[in-house]
Amino acid sequence: MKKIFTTYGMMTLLIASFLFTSATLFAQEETEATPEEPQKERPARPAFESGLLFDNATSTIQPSKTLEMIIQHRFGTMDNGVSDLFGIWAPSNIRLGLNFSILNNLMIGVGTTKYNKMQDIQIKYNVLQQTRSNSIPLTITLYEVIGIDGSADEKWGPDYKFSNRMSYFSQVILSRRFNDMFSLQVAPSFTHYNAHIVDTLDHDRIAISAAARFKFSPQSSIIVSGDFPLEIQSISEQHDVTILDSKPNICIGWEVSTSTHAFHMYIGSAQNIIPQENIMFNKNDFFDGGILIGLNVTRLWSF
Amino acid sequence: MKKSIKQLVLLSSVIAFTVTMMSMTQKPGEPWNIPAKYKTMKSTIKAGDASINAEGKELYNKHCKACHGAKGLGDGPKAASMKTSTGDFSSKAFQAQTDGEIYYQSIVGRGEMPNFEKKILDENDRWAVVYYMRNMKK
Amino acid sequence: MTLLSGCEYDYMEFPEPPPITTELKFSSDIIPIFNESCNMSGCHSAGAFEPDLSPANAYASLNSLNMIDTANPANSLIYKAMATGSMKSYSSAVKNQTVLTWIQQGAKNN
Repeated sequence: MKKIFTTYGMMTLLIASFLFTSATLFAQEETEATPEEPQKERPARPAFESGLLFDNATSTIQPSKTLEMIIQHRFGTMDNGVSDLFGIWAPSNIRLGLNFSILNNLMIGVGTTKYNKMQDIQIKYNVLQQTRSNSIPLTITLYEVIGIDGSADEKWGPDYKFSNRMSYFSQVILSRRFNDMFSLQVAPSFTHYNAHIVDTLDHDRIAISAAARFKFSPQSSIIVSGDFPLEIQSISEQHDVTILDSKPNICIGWEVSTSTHAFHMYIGSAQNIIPQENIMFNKNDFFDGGILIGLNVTRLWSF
Repeated sequence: MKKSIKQLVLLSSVIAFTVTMMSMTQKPGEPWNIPAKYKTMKSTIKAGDASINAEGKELYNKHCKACHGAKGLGDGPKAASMKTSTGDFSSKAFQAQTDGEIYYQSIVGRGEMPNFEKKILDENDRWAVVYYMRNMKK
Repeated sequence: MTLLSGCEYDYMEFPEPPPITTELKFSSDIIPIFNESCNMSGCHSAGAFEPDLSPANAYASLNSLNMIDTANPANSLIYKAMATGSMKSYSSAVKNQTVLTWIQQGAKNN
């Protein structure tokens, strides 16, 4: 019987089940002062310092009426070695974005990206927030990115209509802050493209992502993350065997966060920035020279 | 031609020096106008609770250290660019204030001192920072 | 969540454009393509990525990099990059055909 999930997908599902079972094991992990009267439930501290996680999102939403400016820059891949200074002189991708928290648990954002002139609208909503007393062990967040490809009409040929440009990325993020030093996040997602210009690609793709943070100082942490597109024959439109040609995006990097900024410096394997573009089109193999340097900068203004 | 260039360079360096010297003299802040309810505000946590210390330190380092310095002496890297002096948390005058007055100055702020009500949302966390500053007394 | 703009499942089709019967000129037929899609700042402008497709340098640059193959036009590197290669998304069927026809007509610098 043809196996449905890739080994990476299985690995991440194992991490997800670990997350659920250990939620009870770590129930006593949160340290806090013991008050005299019973307190109402307080939300746990955020699992990640910033709402941005390399190319994806974390479950963190800034307090209401906070404006976040985002600059994301991806250099070229390193496989040309010194000839383009490990990708620094190669074609690069960049995104500028603005996120605004309407409520403490709802954020909307807009952004524009160089490759394919992608415009995006983002919505992030915290359904459930982890509490300090562990009565709610997880934070559950819904994240949606609506992408509008800004390329010239001719890209879609003579039958072009506006809805050809649209793509949708929907993700459920489950995250848990285990203690001050370690947080974990698992996030399955569903990607949909309205139109393809080659007929060998599926319009829908399911992927699973996982990320872990190791905070080694008040302001610095190491984050590891991976997004794995899955090959699921039952949703594929291809009559022959589907060849999953998009590669996972694996990132390892360093985050520095201050009161108003967060900086990410990392090595990753996807250049398209917008999540649906990475899941559908990323061809860089992390283990075969397809690694690149990425930088993110965010700045917060509170109103 | 050469002589006037020399004079110009001398004049501009004198001006630059004076301006730098002037900007380096910071004014100490005016006395704070703290609303009565803050003056008598009571902490929601017990002072000296060991488990809180770690959190207070972490939040102080993240939000306060850049201006106020690691030990609260007003010597953080950003302090020099402020018009108002960033104070000395180890001084008797600072420590003699009530908990609530320190809370107001730290969390609500004024002028160049930002408001942290949106940055530190949790009440206990705010008091943790106040108690961490209490520990800075000489 | 994916409610907006319908859930469409289109595969776009690209019919072959009609063959070109007139003689194409490099300056009036090919350079405009480069100006429209290729030589913007950060891409194939002067001083940026090879080939330099700015109006002044395009012909020389394409020839010095051996990107034009008059013996086997469809094998020209410039045509392959536009039609099926890494520049496919910046090009179109009409542009590809124009460049190919110009090469078939001798790739003259006219």
